[in-house]
Amino acid sequence: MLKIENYSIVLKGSDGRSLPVLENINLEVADGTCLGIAGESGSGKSVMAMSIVGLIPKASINNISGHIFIDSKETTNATEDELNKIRGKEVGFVFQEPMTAMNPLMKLQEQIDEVIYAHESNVTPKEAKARVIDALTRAGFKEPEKFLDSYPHQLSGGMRQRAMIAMALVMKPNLIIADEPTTAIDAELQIQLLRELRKQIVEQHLSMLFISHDLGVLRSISDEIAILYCGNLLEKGPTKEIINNPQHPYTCDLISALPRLVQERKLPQPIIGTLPSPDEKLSGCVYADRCKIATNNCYNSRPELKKIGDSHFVACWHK
Amino acid sequence: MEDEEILKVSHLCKSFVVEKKISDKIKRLITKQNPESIKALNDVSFSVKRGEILGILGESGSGKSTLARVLMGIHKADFGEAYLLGRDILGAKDLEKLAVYRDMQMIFQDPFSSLDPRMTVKQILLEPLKIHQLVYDDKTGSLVHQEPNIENIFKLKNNIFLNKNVPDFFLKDALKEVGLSPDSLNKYPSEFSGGQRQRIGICRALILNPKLIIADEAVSALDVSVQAQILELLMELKKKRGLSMIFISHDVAVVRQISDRIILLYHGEIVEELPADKLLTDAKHEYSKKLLNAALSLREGCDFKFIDTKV
Ligand SMILES: Nc1ncnc2c1ncn2[C@@H]1O[C@H](COP(=O)(O)OP(=O)(O)OP(=O)(O)O)[C@@H](O)[C@H]1O
Ligand SMILES: Nc1ncnc2c1ncn2[C@@H]1O[C@H](COP(=O)(O)OP(=O)(O)OP(=O)(O)O)[C@@H](O)[C@H]1O
Ligand SMILES: [Mg+2]
Ligand SMILES: [Mg+2]
Repeated sequence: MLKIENYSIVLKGSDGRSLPVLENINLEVADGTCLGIAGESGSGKSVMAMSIVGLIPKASINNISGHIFIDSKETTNATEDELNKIRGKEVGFVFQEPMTAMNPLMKLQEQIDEVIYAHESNVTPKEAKARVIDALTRAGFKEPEKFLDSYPHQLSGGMRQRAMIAMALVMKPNLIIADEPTTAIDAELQIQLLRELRKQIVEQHLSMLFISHDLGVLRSISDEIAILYCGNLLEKGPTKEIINNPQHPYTCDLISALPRLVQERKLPQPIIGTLPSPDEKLSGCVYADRCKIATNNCYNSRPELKKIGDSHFVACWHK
Repeated sequence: MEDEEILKVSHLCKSFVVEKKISDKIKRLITKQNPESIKALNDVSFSVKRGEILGILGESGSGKSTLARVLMGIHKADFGEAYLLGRDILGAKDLEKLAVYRDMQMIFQDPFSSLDPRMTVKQILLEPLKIHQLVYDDKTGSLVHQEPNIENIFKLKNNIFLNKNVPDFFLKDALKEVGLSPDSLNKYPSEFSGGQRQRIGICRALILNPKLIIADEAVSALDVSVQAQILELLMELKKKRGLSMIFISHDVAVVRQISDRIILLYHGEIVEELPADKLLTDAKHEYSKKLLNAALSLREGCDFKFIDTKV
């Protein structure tokens, strides 16, 4: 369904600096499966999501290499017209920030109508309304009729996020790219939504790229997980392997940072240090300076992803 | 002093009118019906003790943010009272209001939109001092009100702030307290990561030395590792300064880690109030159990566990 091959992208920083944001990414989402992407803020998750449907502003791109295919159509060299046909209809996109992605002057129904009419001009208002309500319901909106005439600022944070999901679902696309779709909503709704999305993956054969920094969420919806750090894939494999048998020290640290709901009350373990900006990352292993087991070799050269088990890959000199 | 109540809130109510069309409004006015409204807060009463972190949990739309906004004076309450250190906050006006809000500050959810991108960190930190007309006093090493001598009154009237009276080292110490490097002072927000920006927001909230902090989803927009850092910082500040806090979040695990006591809101009403230690075992309300079960399936331990699509 989705294939990313040797993809790298260099962006322009505000002061003209070259920012190698993604480096040599290889990923695949098979029909009817979900790939989860995890990593800290700034690791390049959103840039990856937006690259797939050509949403990175041309003006901020320095260089792109590699290929991205959706259903064997290459999007990396598609024209804006071709991309517009794909966006919304074949690929639904849930943006990370609902407040910036929604038009503050448009009512909820108008926002979703717009997506429908962009691809189908002969839909009656009545049918459009029915589809909007259906999409909102599938996105976990309770009593959607009540809110059709609400403006974004009149909705709570969680409602705005569900509205974004409804916008992605309304055209019934085959692939959904969801960038942190459940961060602002409570656990019950999260579960409901994850269940709804998982159902569509299993039953409707929907494919999905699900981005989140929260492995607790990813473990419940993705078939596979890829760990991104500083624009490099450090580990990827089946969800069960990544969660129960993490190999990269970074994956282990991410798991320790998760808040837990177990009897013993203990604050989650922060990862020491911060993620460097793309032009300041190490030339060796990108995680070396925060890694608990790094040795000299780690600083000197960058490890490549290598196979360590059934479709389990890790990029670490110590494995 | 341990059990001293910092904040006491009684019978707070707040509704929002949902008027779909103008014609509905006209019809309603003609027929003299009550407008259809959403009860965002319904008879909410609670208190916060000195040095206590009160967690507020509830599903999306349960009224958590509305509570924060009413307390901060952003929305007007329909009914009810709130006293901070014995002073009425909902009825306070002008100078009185200014004095009350010096003791109560808010940390916002979004570290990106809550800081003005055109202001340096120094300007951001000076902003609350400016609003509250405070200057640094050499003798006591703390902030005091500007003395109303002739020169100062002129400056106050013309909104000229005596910037020079707040030395950089005071601001640098404040930055250090929240784990930021002192040379951040002349940088702009865009030069910081999300977690660092949230620290700037916390620093801005702390600079007036408030007694109570309201944090509405203060860590929800942060990734898990930064979230853990900020939680650690808040706990440290609580211990060191005896700060009280209202910590609002939809994340049960996070709220339970950090709070002493927890309130559960459901459709604008408090349905449960209990010590954080007892949350998993003693919650009685049907709704609390539902919320806990959902949270457990996301947050219990960290083993591989697919969502069950059969339910
Ligand atoms: N348009 C752009 N121009 C220049 N640099 C950019 C642009 N968009 C993103 N970046 C940079 O690319 C890097 C990756 O950003 P990205 O938004 O993909 O991170 P992320 O993993 O989605 O983080 P978060 O969890 O905070 O959403 C960051 O260093 C960011 O500053
Ligand atoms: N300015 C407003 N105008 C009209 N209705 C509003 C307004 N602000 C909030 N509401 C309504 O009040 C209710 C409570 O909203 P609130 O933002 O307090 O929820 P919340 O508990 O913070 O939810 P979330 O976890 O999603 O942020 C919702 O039904 C919302 O639609
Ligand atoms: Mg992102
Ligand atoms: Mg809220």
